[in-house]
Amino acid sequence: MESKQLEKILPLLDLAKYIGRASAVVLSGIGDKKESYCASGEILSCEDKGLLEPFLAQTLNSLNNITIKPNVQKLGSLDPGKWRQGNFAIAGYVGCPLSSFKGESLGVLSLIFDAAFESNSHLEKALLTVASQVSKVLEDCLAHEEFRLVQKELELQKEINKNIVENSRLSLWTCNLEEDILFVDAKWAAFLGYEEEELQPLTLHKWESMIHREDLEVLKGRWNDYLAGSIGNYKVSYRIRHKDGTWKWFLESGNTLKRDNKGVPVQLVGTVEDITKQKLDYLHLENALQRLTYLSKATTDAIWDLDLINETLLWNDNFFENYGHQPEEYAAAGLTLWIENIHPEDRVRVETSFDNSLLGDNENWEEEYRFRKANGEYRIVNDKAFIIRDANGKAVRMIGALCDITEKNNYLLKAKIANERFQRIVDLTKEVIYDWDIINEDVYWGSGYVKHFGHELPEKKVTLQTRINHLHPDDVHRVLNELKELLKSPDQNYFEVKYRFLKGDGTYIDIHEKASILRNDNGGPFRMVGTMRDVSEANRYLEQLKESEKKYNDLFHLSPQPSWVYDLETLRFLDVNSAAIDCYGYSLREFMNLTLADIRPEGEINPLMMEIENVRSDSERIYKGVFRHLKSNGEEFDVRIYSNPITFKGRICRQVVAFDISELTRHIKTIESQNSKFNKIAWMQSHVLRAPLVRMMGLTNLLLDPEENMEGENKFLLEEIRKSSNEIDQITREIAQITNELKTKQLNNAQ
Amino acid sequence: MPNKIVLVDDDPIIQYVHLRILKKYSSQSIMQFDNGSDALEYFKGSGNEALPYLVLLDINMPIMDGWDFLDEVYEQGLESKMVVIILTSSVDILDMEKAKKYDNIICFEQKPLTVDKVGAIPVLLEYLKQG
Repeated sequence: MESKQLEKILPLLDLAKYIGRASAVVLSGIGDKKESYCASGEILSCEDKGLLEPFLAQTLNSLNNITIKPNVQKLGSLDPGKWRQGNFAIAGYVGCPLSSFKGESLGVLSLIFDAAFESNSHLEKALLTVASQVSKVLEDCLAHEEFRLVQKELELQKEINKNIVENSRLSLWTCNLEEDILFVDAKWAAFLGYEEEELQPLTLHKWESMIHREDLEVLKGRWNDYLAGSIGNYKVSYRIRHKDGTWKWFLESGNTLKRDNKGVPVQLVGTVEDITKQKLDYLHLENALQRLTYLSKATTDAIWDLDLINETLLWNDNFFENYGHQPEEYAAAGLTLWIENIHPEDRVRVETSFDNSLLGDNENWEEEYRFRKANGEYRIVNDKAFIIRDANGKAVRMIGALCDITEKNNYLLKAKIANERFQRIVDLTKEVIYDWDIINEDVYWGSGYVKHFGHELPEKKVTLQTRINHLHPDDVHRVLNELKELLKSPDQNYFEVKYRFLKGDGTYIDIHEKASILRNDNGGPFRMVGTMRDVSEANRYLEQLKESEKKYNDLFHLSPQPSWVYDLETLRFLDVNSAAIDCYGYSLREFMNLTLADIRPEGEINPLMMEIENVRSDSERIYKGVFRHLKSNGEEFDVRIYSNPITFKGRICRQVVAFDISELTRHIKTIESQNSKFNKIAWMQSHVLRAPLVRMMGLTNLLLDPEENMEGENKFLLEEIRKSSNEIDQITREIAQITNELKTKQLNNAQ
Repeated sequence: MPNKIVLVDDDPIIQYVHLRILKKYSSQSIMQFDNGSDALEYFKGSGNEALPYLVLLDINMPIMDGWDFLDEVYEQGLESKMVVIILTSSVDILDMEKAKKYDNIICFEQKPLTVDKVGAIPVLLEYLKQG
């Protein structure tokens, strides 16, 4: 209890003590803590409070009646205690219940006596009067307290309102129509980029001038309706110009503060809210939806709109056209049917990813899967959706597009294969491929750069300057100038240059570079794709070839054997050497007008044509053969011909070397004839000559047989004949031995 | 087993000398032809006996020489009827090489036949004993 109130009550307590001649007076059950006060104003101790408790209870039970205990012997089961305050025992007690005007209990006023006393109606009356006075004071106190609480609450409410106003986009305004002035707060001014003072005084005209012309009519209309009383309150949104010239959106509501005698509002109060952001968002959304509608009409993709709250799925016409499903079925169970038509192998994956996308704060969902058309065919689709969430982040709507990428997928697959092929070529080719993005100075080098040139891959950035890295110093300027010239000429799209290039191992190689230049519409080069080929080997080969051609030429022209080159197609002589000119008796010019047939005798032309056909059917073969040739003077002679293929002035030709074998043929014929004679002699020797010898030997053998009993001189003579025969036999065998050796050689050669 | 040895030679003196030598070993009669053609006619007519004939064949003969005779024998499928010993005056290596080409030639011997030579040819001895 506040001291102010206590001050008012304590005299009343004293009065009661005096009237009742009591030893103590206690006011119990006051305030929140049900404190008990004695007349001195002290708070009763707990011990005393305990002693008093049974009396108080009895008093409160009897409500409006006064409780009088003139002689306290025993109260219920409790012995009367000793009143410590002043060391009195409670010997007598009077309790007056205190109640409010409305009958609510306010406490108890107790009078404590240290001895028995006598009560009377005057005393009771007087005490009740005092009690009613105490009740009144207490009630006042209570009312005051309540008021204080209400006030506090009001202040709190004010504070809250203030906070709400300040923290919100709300601003307060009042308008005095009679004085044509508008009062706005600092926030109103701040919304529009002004200080409060800058706008003062703000007349209605000035205010109207700030409002967007398109919105002013509407706004004025609403005001007029309101002022005329045709609407109860008003709310209107309009655009108002910011200090920087941009437009802000205000939502205004107003109410009447004061009316004139006729009830027409003369003062208005209201709020405005800066709803620019919401409005722009809304317009943005509106535009987006508009675009979506147009897009949905323009695209061939199937567009879908899923309301997650009501679980309804809407598809545009494309879906039904592209996939052949029935709009009626989908209208009834769109979501279920969509899931059912996903390929079984993809379904779980798609469903899981779809569900997961709704959790968290994803804004997008995308999946690729196979989707079944009404005819059962599966198409590969890309399904992409935007997730719309409410203020709490809960997904409420999804808008998506189902794009058939079957063809694209095939194309990508083909592109992938093509790219792999390209990569393989890049890896296998001996040329180093590059793709130079001139604008971004970015370059792609084929793997050959490292493999063939032995350099690390150079910087990703390639400029005109770094393009000539590793070039031979003597070639740098020429190549750079050529390249610059080329890039400058809008109609030149092909570049070809040769230079020496330094390899990683420090050696120079010959490079033959070819490139195509890609240009934009203005002729500006933006890309250069080319190849660098190591032609060192080829150059060396060319040099060797030149050398070998010279050698061949010398060999051909200086050769002592007749030699010529003829065209396999026309059989014309294309080149002849001096030996041929000497041998055949034709001049070079004459030879150039002849064909092979012109150096053959009549009877040799058919065999020649047959041989030529054979050579034509296998033009790579190396040919040799013996022919009879004809000189310009009609003389025939034998030649051994060797011919081999040769490319002469770009034509497939044959080079021929001819050996005059007339002499050789004559020699061979002589030898063959002699050989034949020799063989005949050998044969005669073996068969003819030996026949009579054998006869003679047989006969002498018979005669010298012991059974013949040959004796004397005859035997001697026969012995001598046999000896001579054996000698001839031996001689013929020795001759045979020599001829046999020759024949054995011939046999072996033949084998 | 009569007439199992056949002597083909155009030289009557040689035939005489050879018969004389062979008679020393056997009294059986020995068939004689003085050219390949007659010998061939004989073999064409003779039946198939278990033991083939032994032909002592000269090479150089008129009408049909030794080689032509052998070629005909093979041509006519008569080769199984005989085994052949070439008895020739030839010391030509070509003849010796040629003889190797015929399966049924078992021996290549130079004329004249002597007692020693007969003793050195076991097959001939075998045939002579059987007579």
